[in-house]
Amino acid sequence: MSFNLLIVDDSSSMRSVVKKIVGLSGVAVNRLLEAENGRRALEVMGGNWVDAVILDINMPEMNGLELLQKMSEDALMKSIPVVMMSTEASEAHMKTAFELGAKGFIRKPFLPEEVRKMLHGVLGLDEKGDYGERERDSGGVDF
Amino acid sequence: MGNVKEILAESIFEVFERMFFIFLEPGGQAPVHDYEAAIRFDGPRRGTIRILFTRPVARLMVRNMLGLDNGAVTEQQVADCVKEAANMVSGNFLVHLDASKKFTMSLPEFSARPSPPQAGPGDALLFDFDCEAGKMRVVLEMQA
Repeated sequence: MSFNLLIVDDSSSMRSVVKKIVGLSGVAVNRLLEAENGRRALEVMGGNWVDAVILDINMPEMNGLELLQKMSEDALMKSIPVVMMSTEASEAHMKTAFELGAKGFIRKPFLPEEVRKMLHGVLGLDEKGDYGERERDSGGVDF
Repeated sequence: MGNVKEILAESIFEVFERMFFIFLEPGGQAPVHDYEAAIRFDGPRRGTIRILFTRPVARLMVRNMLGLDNGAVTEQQVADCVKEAANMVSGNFLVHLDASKKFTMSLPEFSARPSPPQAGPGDALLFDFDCEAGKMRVVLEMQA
């Protein structure tokens, strides 16, 4: 099984770094999608199946928390696991993110291992990157 | 601002070592800086962090972060990396300053301007660093 991942960050350099880490993480990736802000991420998710989102907070046009709010109001998007990846990691920011449905929070600057572990966790993968004993969210929407 | 100075220094070292694989040491002032990224923050404390780079240091950041050869580095990548460095240093500093308090940060602003480093107001903190590629400066201006 392979996954479609969406990386949302206004820094193209940071997106490149995360793509490289994901490529080395052992996660079987079908498509690595990118967006430079929350508004663009909504467009990408509207036209593509996305299994998980890696999301920055401080971005122009629509920031990461605003995108999380939009996703929580959407029947399809609210089931997509989101990992926040931000330098804005105060207790208040983290609390807001988790209340809006984020599944994890990685503080920048990060170590590649933190990203790998978090991705494996939200995708339900074992250490080898195989789909483990966990079943996919049965509460999701059937097509 | 003794404690603030230590927190800022640690925040800078952490960002540059983890994300850019650059090991900074306290150094002397550069005669000219080529790039600057500035970010404002607001909350229990309000202020600005400015980071000034010489061109070789900025290009080394891009090379190390993206795994590129020197000739492949573009000015757009330099601007992007320099802004992201300011974003991470600022966020890291604020979390270490007080993670229980909510600060908001502006989007980082970039400028390429070959001008002499600016001395901030009287209560500004200035750090000059050396690394293998040259010099950089960090300026924190913070109101109580």
